[in-house]
Amino acid sequence: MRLKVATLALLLAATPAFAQTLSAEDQAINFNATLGETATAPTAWLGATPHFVMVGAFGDYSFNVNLPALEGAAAEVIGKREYGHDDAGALQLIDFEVAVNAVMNDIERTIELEFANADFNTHTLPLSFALSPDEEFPEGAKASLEVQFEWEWVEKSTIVNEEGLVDSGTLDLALNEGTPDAEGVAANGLIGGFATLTRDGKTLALSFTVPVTEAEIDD
Amino acid sequence: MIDPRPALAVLALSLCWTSAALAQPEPIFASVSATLETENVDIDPDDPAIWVNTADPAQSRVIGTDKDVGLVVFDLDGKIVQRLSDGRLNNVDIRQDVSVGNETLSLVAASRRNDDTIVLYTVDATGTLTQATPFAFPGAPRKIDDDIYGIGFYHDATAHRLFVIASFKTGEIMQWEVTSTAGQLSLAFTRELAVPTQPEGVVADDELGFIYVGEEDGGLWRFAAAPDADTSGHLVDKVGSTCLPEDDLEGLAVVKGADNTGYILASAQGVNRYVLYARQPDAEGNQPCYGSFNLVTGATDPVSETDGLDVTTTALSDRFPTGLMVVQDDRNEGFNRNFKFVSWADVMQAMQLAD
Repeated sequence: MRLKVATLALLLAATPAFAQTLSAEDQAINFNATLGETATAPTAWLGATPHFVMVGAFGDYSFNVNLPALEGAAAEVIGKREYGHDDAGALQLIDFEVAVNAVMNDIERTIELEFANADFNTHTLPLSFALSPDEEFPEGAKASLEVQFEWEWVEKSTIVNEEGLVDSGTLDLALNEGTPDAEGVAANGLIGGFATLTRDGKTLALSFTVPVTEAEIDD
Repeated sequence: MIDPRPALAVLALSLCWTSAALAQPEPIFASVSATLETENVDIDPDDPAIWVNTADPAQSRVIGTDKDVGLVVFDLDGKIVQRLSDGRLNNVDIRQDVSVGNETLSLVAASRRNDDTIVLYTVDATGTLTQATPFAFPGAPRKIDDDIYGIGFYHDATAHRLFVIASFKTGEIMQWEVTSTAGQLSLAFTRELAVPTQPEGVVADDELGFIYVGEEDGGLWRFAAAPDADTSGHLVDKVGSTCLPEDDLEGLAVVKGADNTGYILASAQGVNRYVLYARQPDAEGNQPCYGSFNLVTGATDPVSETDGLDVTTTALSDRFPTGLMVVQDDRNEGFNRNFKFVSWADVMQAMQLAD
C-alpha cells in the first residue's frame, strides 16, 4: 500500500494538474496518423514522380502516410526553401522543408520535416547526408532534421504539438531542381529524396518528391 | 494508560504543515470556451489589441496582426472591417485618449520586421486606423543583429508622457518616448533594457508603472517603467514552474480590476494555456501565480499554440458584459487561422475571480 501511494505521488508530481486524458480507444486514434493504403516502410527513394510516403514512429506517435502520387491526392504536400547569406553575402540554401496538411483518421493533421545544411546547393546529387542533432547547419555531407507535427482533435478538445531533432539517420537527397530568380531564390521546381531516422530508439522512413511552392531569405 | 503526547505532537505538526500549505493557495486550473471566432486571416495571426468605443462599446474594434500581411481590424462579431497591408507586422499595442504633452492621442503601434521599424497609426472615433505622420520609425538607435519582435506602450498619466517599447529577438529592448507637435509624431530614444534570451511579449501596467517582458524560453520579467528607473529586471516566474511548465512564454496583457487590482495574463504556448499572476507585487516583490486555463471546444474549436492576446475589463455588450479577451488561434478547420473572442465573465467564473 505504501508503495502504491508513493508511486501515485510520483505520477502526480510528473503529470501537470491540467493534463489531458483520453480513453484507450481515443488514444488509438490520436496516436496513429494514417492516410491511404497501408504501406510498408520505404527502403529507397521512390522516384521523381511527386509522392510522399512516411512509415514508422516518432515519439509516442505512429505514422503510415501513403501518397504514391500527389496529383489528385487528398492532401496538400509542399516544399519550401529557406536561404541565408554567408559572411561574404553569398546566398546559401540552408534549409528545406516538406509539409503535409491532410485529414488522417478524421483529424486535420500537419506534418513538417525540416532539413538543414550549410548549403544544400553546393552538393552534387545524389548524395547521402548523415543526420545528426549536433549542429544546426552542418558543413559537408551532414544535415540536421527537425520533425514537427500538430493537430487539434476538436471533438475531444485534444491538442497535439510535438517537435524534435532526430538523433541519427540518413538523408539520400536525390533531387533539388528549380529556376532561381534574379536574387538566386527558387520558389519552384521539385525536391526529393529518401530518409531514415531514429529518435529515442524509434525509427521512421520516408520517401518524398514534392513541388516547391515557397521560398524565403532569412536575414 | 497510553501516553497521548506523541500523537498530539504529530497532530500539532500536521496542523502546522496544513497551515503553511494553506498560506500559499494552490493554483487553479480550469477550462473555458470561446464565445466566437473571427473570420480567418490570410496568413498567420499573432497579436491583438482592443480599441474600446467609449461612446458605443458594442462598436468596439479588435486590431490583429497578420504577420506577413499587416493589420486586420474586426468588429465584435469577428467580421473584418479594415485591412492595412503595411508589411510584416508582428505585434501590436494601443493607447487611446491618452495625454501626450498638450495633446490627446489614440495611437496603435506595431513592430515591422521588414525593416525593424516601429509603425504608428492614429485611431479615429469610429475605430478606423490611419497611418500616422510620419508612419515608420527605427526600432533601435543602432543596428541590431536580429528582428524587431514585440511591442508595447507605456503611458504616464501624471507626467502626460507616452513611451513605446520594442523588443528584439536578441533580447535587447528599446524604450522610446512618443511626442506630438500639431499632429507630427516623433520618437526620442530614452533607454535600453535586456533579457537573457529571445523575448516577444511586451506590456506595460500604466497605473503601477511596470513594464513586463516575456522571455520565451526564460520567463516573465518585470521592469520599472519610468525612463530614469533602474534597468534591472525582476523574474516574476520562470519556465519550468508549476504554472509555466514549458516554453514558450508569449503574449502578455494587464487585466485591470478596481483600485489597481487585477492580474497579469500570460500565454503559455507550450501547454496551450493562459496563466494569471497577481497584478500587485507583494511586500517581497513577488507576484504569485493564481492559476491557468485553456480554451476548449464549445461554441468554437479549441485554441492551440497560444500566442498573442489582449484583455479589456470594460463591459462591451451582452456577450461581453464584464469585458473581452482576444487570443490568436493557430489552427482552425481547413488549416486556417484566426482570433478567438472570449467573454471575460466566463474566465472569471471558471477561475473563480472576484469582481
